[in-house]
Order: sequence, then C-alpha cells, then structure tokens
Amino acid sequence: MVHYSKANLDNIFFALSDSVRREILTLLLRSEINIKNISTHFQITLQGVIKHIKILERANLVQKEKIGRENICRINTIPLTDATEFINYYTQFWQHNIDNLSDYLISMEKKMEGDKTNG
Amino acid sequence: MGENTENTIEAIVDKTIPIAIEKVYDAWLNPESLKSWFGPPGHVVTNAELDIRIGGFYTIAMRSPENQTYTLTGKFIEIIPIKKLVYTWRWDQSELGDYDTEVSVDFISISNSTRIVIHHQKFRTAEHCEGHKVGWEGSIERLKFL
Repeated sequence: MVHYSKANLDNIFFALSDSVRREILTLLLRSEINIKNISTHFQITLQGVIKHIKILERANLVQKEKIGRENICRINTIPLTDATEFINYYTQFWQHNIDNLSDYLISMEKKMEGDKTNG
Repeated sequence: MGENTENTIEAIVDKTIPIAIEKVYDAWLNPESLKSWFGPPGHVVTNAELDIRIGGFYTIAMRSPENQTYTLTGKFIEIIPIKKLVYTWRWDQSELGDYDTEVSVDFISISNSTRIVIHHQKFRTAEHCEGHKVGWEGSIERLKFL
C-alpha cells in the first residue's frame, strides 16, 4: 500500500515554479544527497538551499532524514504523479465529451434535415 | 503557506465544433441531451436534474460499465446565457476526488461553429495514487506550468 499524498497541489506547483528547485529535484532523481552537498551544485548559499528544500518538503516532493550529522534528502515522486494524473484525466474526459456532443448534435441536425425532406 | 490562487493548475480543453452556439449551449444544460453525450467513456447517464440559476444545484447520475452508480453534483456559480458557465463539480467517489473542483465553460460563436473552452481547476489532494517511480527524469522540466 502506497502512503497517501496529502500535499496540496498548489504547493506542488508552487514548488515546481522555481528553476533551482526543479534542478534540485532532478539531482535527487539520480540519488539521495546530503543537504550540504546540494549547495555545492548551485551558486547559492546553504541557507538558500535549506529554504528551497523546505518548500519542496511542504509539497511532499522531498523527504529529509537525519542520519548522524547529515541531513539526507530524497525525492518523493508520488505528488508529481497525482498532479499529472488529475490533469490528464480531466483533459481526456472533456475532449471525449466534446467529441460526443459534436457527434450527437450533428446526428440531430441530419435527422431534422431528413424529416424535412421526407415530410 | 496560503492558497496560491494565481497559479492554479488546471485541465484546459479548447475545441471548436461545427454546430451553432445556441444548440451547443442548450445541449450542455438539457437533461435529455446530456444523456446522449455526457459522462466518462462507457458510462450511461441515468438521471439528470439541473436547477439553472446562480446558486442552483445539479445532479447527474451515471451507471458505469461495471454497473456501478456514480453521482456528480455541483452548484452554478456564474451563468451568462449562450456565453459562459461556471459551476462546482464533485463526485461521490473518492478516487476521483470527493471534494469540489470548478469547471468554467466559455462558448464562443465563430460563424456557424462554436468554440468551447473548458478550464477544470481547483484540484486539491490526490488520493488515488499508485506511486509509480518511473519516467520522471526530464518530466519535472515539463511540469513548469507556472
């Protein structure tokens, strides 16, 4: 059983709105990493990285674990799945429905025309 | 963190169909017409009731191919006849989110055709996740909707 993601989708998309945070996630996709080492990859301070990690944590995209003196960060991709599944589901739903509506109304028009010529 | 209302995530569908706007608008709200076009694939609308006024509720009951009944309910927030509809949207099934989302539909007349623009938004939590940790390399960059 996969644990539930309670992260607000707004939080997820806010977290993804920043290029540094997207790069952090891309980094974490390859491996979990100590928070101090993350800052060496970017031109920002450790304090800045901590701030970004907090935003990613709030969106449940990153989980932090203290192992000894290290703060290990790892990615959680479940919220990403949630966000895209919702959008994909409803995009397909509405496309399907508008196609159906179009087919239905075209068939009604044809039927009316047929009635006119026959009547 | 506060609600990040400026940057809403949404499903957007923009399609033009070769039907006059009055007919499209009528079919959108007509319970009998809804039975002929509305619902997820394979589902049959068994009952539709719509109280078409601001603050009025609608209920659409559907039967799935597995013979299960699903009900969609909501409230009209904005009605501009033959132009725009905004309503809330809630399924009675939690895997699709048993909380209010919001649908806005714009109808735009283009000669004898109608452009339909749908924004489905205000998704909150997702509790139907399967948790596939595959294929995300590169996907994060694509997710920058903001």
